Amino acid sequence: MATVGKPGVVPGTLDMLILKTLALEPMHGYGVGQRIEQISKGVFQVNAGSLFPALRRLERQGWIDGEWRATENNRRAKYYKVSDAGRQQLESEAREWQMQSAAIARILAATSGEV
Amino acid sequence: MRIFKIIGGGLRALFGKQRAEQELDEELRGYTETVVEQKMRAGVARGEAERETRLEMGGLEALKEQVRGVGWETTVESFLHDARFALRMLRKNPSFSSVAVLALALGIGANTAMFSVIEAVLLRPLPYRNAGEIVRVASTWVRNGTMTSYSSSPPDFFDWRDQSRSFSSMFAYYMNEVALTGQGQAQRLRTVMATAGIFSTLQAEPTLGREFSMEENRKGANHVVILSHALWQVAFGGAPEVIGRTMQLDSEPYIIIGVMPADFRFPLSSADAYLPVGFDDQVMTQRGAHYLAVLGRLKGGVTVAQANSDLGAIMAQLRKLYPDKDGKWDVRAEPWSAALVSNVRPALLVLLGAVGLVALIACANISNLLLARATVRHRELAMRRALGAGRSRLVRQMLTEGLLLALLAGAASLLLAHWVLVSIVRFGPADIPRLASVGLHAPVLAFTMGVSGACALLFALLPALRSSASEASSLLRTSASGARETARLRGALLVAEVALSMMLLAGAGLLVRSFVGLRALSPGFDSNGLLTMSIGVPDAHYKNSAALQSYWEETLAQLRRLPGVVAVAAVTPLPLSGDDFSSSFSIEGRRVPEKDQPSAEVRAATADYFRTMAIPLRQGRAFTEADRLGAERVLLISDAAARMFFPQGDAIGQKVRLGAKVDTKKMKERLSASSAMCTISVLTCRPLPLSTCLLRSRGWMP
Repeated sequence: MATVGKPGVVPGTLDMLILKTLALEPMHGYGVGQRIEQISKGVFQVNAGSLFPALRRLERQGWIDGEWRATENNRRAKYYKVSDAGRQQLESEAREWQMQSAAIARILAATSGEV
Repeated sequence: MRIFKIIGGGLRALFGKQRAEQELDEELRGYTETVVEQKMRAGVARGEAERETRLEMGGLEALKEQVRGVGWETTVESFLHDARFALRMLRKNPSFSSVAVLALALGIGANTAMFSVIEAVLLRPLPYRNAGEIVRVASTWVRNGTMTSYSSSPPDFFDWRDQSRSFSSMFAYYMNEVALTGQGQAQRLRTVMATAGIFSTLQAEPTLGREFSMEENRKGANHVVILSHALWQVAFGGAPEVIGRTMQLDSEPYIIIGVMPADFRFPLSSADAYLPVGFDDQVMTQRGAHYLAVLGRLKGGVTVAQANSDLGAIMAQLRKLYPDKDGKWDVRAEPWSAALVSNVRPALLVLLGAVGLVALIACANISNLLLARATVRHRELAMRRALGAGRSRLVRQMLTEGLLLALLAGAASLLLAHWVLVSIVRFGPADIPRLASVGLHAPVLAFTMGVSGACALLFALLPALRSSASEASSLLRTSASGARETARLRGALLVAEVALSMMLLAGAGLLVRSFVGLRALSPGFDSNGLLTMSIGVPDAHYKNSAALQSYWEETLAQLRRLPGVVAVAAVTPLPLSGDDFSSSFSIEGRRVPEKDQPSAEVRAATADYFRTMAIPLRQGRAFTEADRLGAERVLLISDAAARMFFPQGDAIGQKVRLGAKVDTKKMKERLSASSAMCTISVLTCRPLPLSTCLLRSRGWMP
């Protein structure tokens, strides 16, 4: 269900990205999508088809909690915020990801002389 | 903590379903509106913005379905959905459903009933505290490589108890019957004659009063009694002041010193009262008198193997000290729970195997029916497949149908099992311990559930895999090769069914043949029209043999006068009753060292015994009324004994000396084993205090 022409996030990282975004500030579903797009400077786009199942999944895991609140333009929306367990999960996922991406970067930067 | 959240979230979604749906709806609507607004703010017309948004988001329903699919509760939901659908399918085919449920219920019911018996007899712990520590200690005798367990003699028991270090306590007992008199009608009581230590070994205390002391195991000091709860209620109305009162047992006064709790049963078939054995001063010389059953409680951490090596060392010592009496005996301890059921265990397990096969046959049957029906449901399955149901979804659906069928059958089987159990308890053999306590208890219900589930998997998996196998397109076309394969599968199932049935039939046939063979075996007497009746005569009333003789003569004469009675006699022990009494003997004029003397089963009977039992006389004469106290003692021997010891046919007139005195007191204590057993009946004509009356009736006696 990915929208044609717009890149999705790297597979397996969406949960972490959502957690990180919500760790900055509690937000509703639309805001999360917008924020990921903004911070990634438009590199990543999150469509509703992946966003809402992911939010439901994180909520079920107990990593985020939902709460109904009024938005800035006076509409009721479900705001999500990261729980303590979610924060721990984010930390460990981020650490894991940094290790992996650093390793990938080293491999990609390798020249034949180094091997 | 997280697990609770996961479960809780699922439960909320299941039960607060409407609210969750509303919230999801609102959340997605809000999202959509925001997206549309953003697009309009960028200058897109409303209609166009809405269209774009719909395109980007895909179908709203599909999105909701995706969100709902997160979490475990959807699996439950789809199962419930499947179950509802399955129920409709079963209702739509009542003939198929009832046949399937009935066939399965028979198979599962047989298993439920059999398992109930096994649960009560083999699996349930004995009703004593820390029952796993209780072991039975038996004297053993190895002959021709097979070891047989026997009762033990008092001196052996005392030596084991006092010298072993593996037991925290040990006691010995035997069963007896006494007459309770002086309280209205005379009543026969089943009593346990035990040594001190019985209650500490069983870890049970009297609710009232105290238990036996060591001193009360001496003859003369043993006139105390502990009542069972039931006897206390019946005979004394549950009055607490009963302690210290006396009651007349076998016409002698006994002081009541205790009352056991209501839930105390020992032995498992329960007894009315507990009395101390009164050992006399000669007890230590009776090393050959095996009549005590021995139970011990292992010390904490001691294994049965350690106890066996401990006892074995003591027994080796005893064999050296008493080569005459203990020379061939050994000792063996085994867990009491295992010892109790060692003779019924294999039979029960074989029966469980047999009913297991019955369940397998039922499963094969249902599987076959389902495969046949799959041909009919072909189109339905193909349609669902074409509409996008995955194979696993279809298999799950059909397994759910199977499970529902099996659970219905399981429930029906409980009814069947209940009836079977009622008749097992009523007509089952009396010598299976705790058979009366069978019932549909929790472990049985769990077993039935488990068997139902296993059956469902067994019979539904094959048809489910088979009928969901091919692609949707080929399913829609009726494929000839698919039909052929189904036919082959059904054939294979049929072969398996017939093979299993043949096994069961052959087994059952052999069993019936053995049974018919046993029935055809002549016991040596004519049991038709023969009635038995047990009478115990208190020693205290009939102090000498003359009094006893006149009692019996009078009793038998009165019985003979009853209408319809043809012949009356008294005998002890009753043949084939399980009680026996053996004695070594010597034949006058033949010199045999004492320890090699032959031994024989001995019965004492009154004059008319042979006529009453319809036992033919081969040679010589039967007893007459003249064979009584004071007359010359006579005995008859069996055919087999005559052939073995008097091969020249010169038995009549020979003199035989019985080793152990056939003494009334010892007979009452039921000495059972002796040094070299061979089963030869020798009969003497003497009245004894505990006898069985035999009545031969003309036609039927009321």
